[in-house]
Amino acid sequence: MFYLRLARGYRVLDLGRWILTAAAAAATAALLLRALGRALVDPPGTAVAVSAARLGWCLPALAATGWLAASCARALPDRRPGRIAGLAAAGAGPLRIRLLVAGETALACAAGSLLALVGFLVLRNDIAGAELAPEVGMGARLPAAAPLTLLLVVPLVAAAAAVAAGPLRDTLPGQRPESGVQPLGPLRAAAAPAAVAVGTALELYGRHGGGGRLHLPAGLGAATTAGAAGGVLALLGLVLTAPLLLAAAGRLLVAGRPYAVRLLAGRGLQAEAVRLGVPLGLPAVLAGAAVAAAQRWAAGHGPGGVLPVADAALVGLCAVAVAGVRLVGARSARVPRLDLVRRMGAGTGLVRRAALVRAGAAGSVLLLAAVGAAALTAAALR
Amino acid sequence: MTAAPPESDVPGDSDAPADGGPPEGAATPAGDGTPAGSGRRGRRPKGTKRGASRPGRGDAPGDGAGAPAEDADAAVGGADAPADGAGAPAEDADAAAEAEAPAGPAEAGARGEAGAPSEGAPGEAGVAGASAEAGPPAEADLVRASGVLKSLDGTAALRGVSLTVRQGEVLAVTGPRGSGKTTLLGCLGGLLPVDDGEVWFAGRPLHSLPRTERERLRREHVGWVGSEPQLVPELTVRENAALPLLLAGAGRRAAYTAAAEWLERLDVAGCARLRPAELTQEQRQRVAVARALAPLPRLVLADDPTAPLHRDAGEQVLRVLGTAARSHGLTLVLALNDPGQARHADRSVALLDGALSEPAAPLAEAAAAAAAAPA
Repeated sequence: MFYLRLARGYRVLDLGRWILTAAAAAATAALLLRALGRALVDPPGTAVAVSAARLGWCLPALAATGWLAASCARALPDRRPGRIAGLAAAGAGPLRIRLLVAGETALACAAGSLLALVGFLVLRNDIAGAELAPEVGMGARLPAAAPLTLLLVVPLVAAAAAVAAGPLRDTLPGQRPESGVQPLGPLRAAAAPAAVAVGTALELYGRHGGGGRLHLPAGLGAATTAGAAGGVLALLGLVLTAPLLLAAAGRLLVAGRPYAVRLLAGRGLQAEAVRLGVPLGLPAVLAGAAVAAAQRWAAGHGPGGVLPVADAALVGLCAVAVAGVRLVGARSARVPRLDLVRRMGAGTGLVRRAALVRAGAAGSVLLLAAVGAAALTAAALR
Repeated sequence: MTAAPPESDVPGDSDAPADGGPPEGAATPAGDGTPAGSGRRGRRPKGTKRGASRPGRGDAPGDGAGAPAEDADAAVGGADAPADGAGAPAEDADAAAEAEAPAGPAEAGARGEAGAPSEGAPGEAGVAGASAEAGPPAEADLVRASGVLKSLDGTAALRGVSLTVRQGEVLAVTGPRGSGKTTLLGCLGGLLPVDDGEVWFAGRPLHSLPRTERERLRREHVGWVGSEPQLVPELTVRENAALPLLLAGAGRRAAYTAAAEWLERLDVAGCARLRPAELTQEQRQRVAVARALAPLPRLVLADDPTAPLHRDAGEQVLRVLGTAARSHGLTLVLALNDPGQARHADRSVALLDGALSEPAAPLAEAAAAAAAAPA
């Protein structure tokens, strides 16, 4: 816990990462505790599957929290190079440093979970109204082990994600690994568009009556098995294709013989496509799917429960937070490159125009992804 | 000086006579003998303490229990003699050489003699002797690298380097910028994995150890002084110096006490409560040295430690490092840009474009030749 002493040197951005992680953990813990509360007041004889399904709805939130924790953990060395160099010179290898960061992450998550538990206990204490009473299992005795077990899950998952964030690279103290343009691996570059294609084909097959009928959760009505599976696969593929789309947009920008603005914007987009693609693509795809689902809900009868909405909101917010963390990281990585460009005589206006062009290109690509996601979802829900 | 406790034997820069005077050329007998003698006495208890607390270290003394201890005692007596009254250095060196002659093989004896006339003569000879006594000659080598290949970012930084670092010696690796010195140090201490070749550290294969083991070995046995001080900016100076011990799992009290002692020895005890940003660059580099030495690692790697300093301050840092390493029996590898600074070392090798440009031990041979003339 000595490492926590280092938190004294934190400034706004670092504290922001901490608070984001803690907030995501608190939300996930609240979902877990709600599942526990409902299970406490379930009438005797309720099927296990009901509780399992409620816990299952917590998994996307848990995964999103882990993802956020991992990106925060990976961003720390870039934000605090002095600290990492000092720890390395003091004898901490890359694994040890990763473990220290994971400990910090786990602590942030434990703080968030504890906050959720306090809220849960306070609400159980005859404060919750009639509407909220079954959610917190008011009136039923609370076994002490149950909330503790549930609350340990979040910090442990987040810490594991922080340890596993990216490959371990051996460096000498003070040397930072070169953060150049890393292209996607060939497997991923091929698998993502393939997933979109296969998913769309499955969906079309399902529309013509392939596979058995499936009752969808969250008031989305019914769909064919093949259609639902194809839709999920296509959406997932679309998220993973976002880096490729961004890189392609960058390549388009530098096509022909570009002037400085287009050149800087295009190459910059290509360089950051891998780092920013998924965190930007996921909220876009989620938003598209949510629009399609909302149309469905408007026609029929509501989402039928708070869980799907809470899940979607949490995952979307986590993705936005991850994108924010990565953007901050990308900015600090861009500083030396921009210094170089400025030293060559580029004015502030040119650099700003390049940034605008880049943001515009990225925005149109994301809009395209969102529209595609909305179309895919609407097709699957027919 | 004879009554001084073992801990105080590393002088600050102000204690001129104890520092050994001018390191090159004709050193005065008293100046040479005193620090080495007291250093040896300082080293003994440390060595035994370390051997007791860390099982990995005690492998060598285990083979022969009685005889080496006697020899070591004889050597200590010989080295102590000039400290009391200004004894003749030649006699002293003979005593040390005699003490190890029966135990060590011929090679060790020769090495002891070769080392004798150089700076810190009797102590250094004793160190070589002591390690030779304890086991077969191979175990006198702390690090043995053979055919090390290492490329960084696609550039071949090391192209087949073979090098042996003996227990307790001060070795200088000289070469211009970009010659691979830093990478070599990283490979010797297990900070970087080698692409090809072998690195043996205290009998353990660094090239094939799993990552966790390699990191543990490095944490417990290797100290690092960089060309920048590389202190953790958020921590105070004392916490920085205590950090390696804390990372290695030592008790907090022990860690902070050791840190305070070493800061005292390096003349930066006055700023123990300050942040690194409030110090001068020289003070920061001294703190970095204290941090590297406080856990008493077996191997100290100093990567161009004089780079951020003015020449006189750099000289001071090198002298302090060398004295501390010799008096505590630590092995020190210095990477130096300036070949002239290699006089602080017992032995020097030159690295050029990722390969050793000449066979090792020019300094020791030169010293041996110089010794042969007056004898």
